Amino acid sequence: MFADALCPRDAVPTAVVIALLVGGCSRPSSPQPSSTEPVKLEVIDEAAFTKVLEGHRGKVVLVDFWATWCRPCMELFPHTAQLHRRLAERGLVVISISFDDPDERRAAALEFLAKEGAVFQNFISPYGAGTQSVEAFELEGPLPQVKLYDRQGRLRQSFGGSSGTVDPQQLDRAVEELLSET
Amino acid sequence: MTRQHTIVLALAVTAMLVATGSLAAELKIGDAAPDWSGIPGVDGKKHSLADYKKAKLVVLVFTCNHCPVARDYEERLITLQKEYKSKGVQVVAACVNDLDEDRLPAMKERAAGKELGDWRTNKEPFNFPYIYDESQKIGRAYSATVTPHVFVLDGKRKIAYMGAVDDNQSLKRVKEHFLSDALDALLAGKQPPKAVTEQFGCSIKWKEEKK
Repeated sequence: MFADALCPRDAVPTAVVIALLVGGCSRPSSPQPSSTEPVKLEVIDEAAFTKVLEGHRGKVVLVDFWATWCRPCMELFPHTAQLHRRLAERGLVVISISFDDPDERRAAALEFLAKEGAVFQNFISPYGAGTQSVEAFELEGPLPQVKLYDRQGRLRQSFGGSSGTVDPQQLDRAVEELLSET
Repeated sequence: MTRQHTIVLALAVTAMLVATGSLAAELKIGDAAPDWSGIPGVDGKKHSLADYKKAKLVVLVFTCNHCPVARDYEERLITLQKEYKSKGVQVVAACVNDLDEDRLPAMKERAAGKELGDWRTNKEPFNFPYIYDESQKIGRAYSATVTPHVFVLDGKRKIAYMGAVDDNQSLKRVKEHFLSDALDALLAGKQPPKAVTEQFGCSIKWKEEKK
């Protein structure tokens, strides 16, 4: 597949990957992503997600839980993408997990991710929008929710959900603090 | 300001916050259901919990117009009301969102079966009241968090179930029918198999944050 050829290191079965080139899909209002990497979206369950997290030991990991049915999520997402662009070089790994229906809303979710230039690991829950997603990924309260893991892989802070809306400035500060830890 | 004055002021502020529901404790199963009255509905009338004295069970659903998850549940609620009407179950849909598209004029269109788009092929109008609480007090009183968020009030108007309608927005993925299972149990004089479930959907748009 085209995407795999471009990025063989991240190659995954074509059945679970839809890839788009970012360049042609940027929304005028969002910052023009400089990367021409393909934006991908893979189904992931909680067990596989734990393994993905383990693979990022030594880095600070930010996980953005979102959905296309959640307006505040889509408002927050450009900030998440910007954090990636700004801080990836300093050791920040950004991951997104969508709670959209993996069959019916997958294309819509991918289209949004491409528009936002989400050239990081994007996943979609196999359980869609429902109680199982909330329980499997251990969320509390409504989306959006952001979880921050330190370089040792420990969950250090959660934003949003039952604790209120995500404050981007607060999030930035927390990310900076974790990045400065060794 | 003396220390006494400070304490009095602090108590007054606390009382105000409690009165507006900002510090309302989360409801528990068995708690008395918070009352409501004089809340305008899409039918142009004022609505109160006392209107449903004859109902064995009241299903209060916090919902709204704009949320795709809430929309996907409208048809399920219409069906549920049809099936349970004769059993003495009354559905009441309440919207408290501070969003223009979620206020009464838009709610009237929605309840009438208009502006449905392709997300709901069934063009049936709502067969239950759809009320709008601009003050958002009812939402605070029930500690509603998302749309849809369901509360079942038993014969004594105590909270008997709270959470989701069922376990998935997508009908074809639904495995557990939490709400109808709870209603069946309560109508049979039993406790719901699951009295509290994890609600999911769009966050309620409170006035102070609009998120």
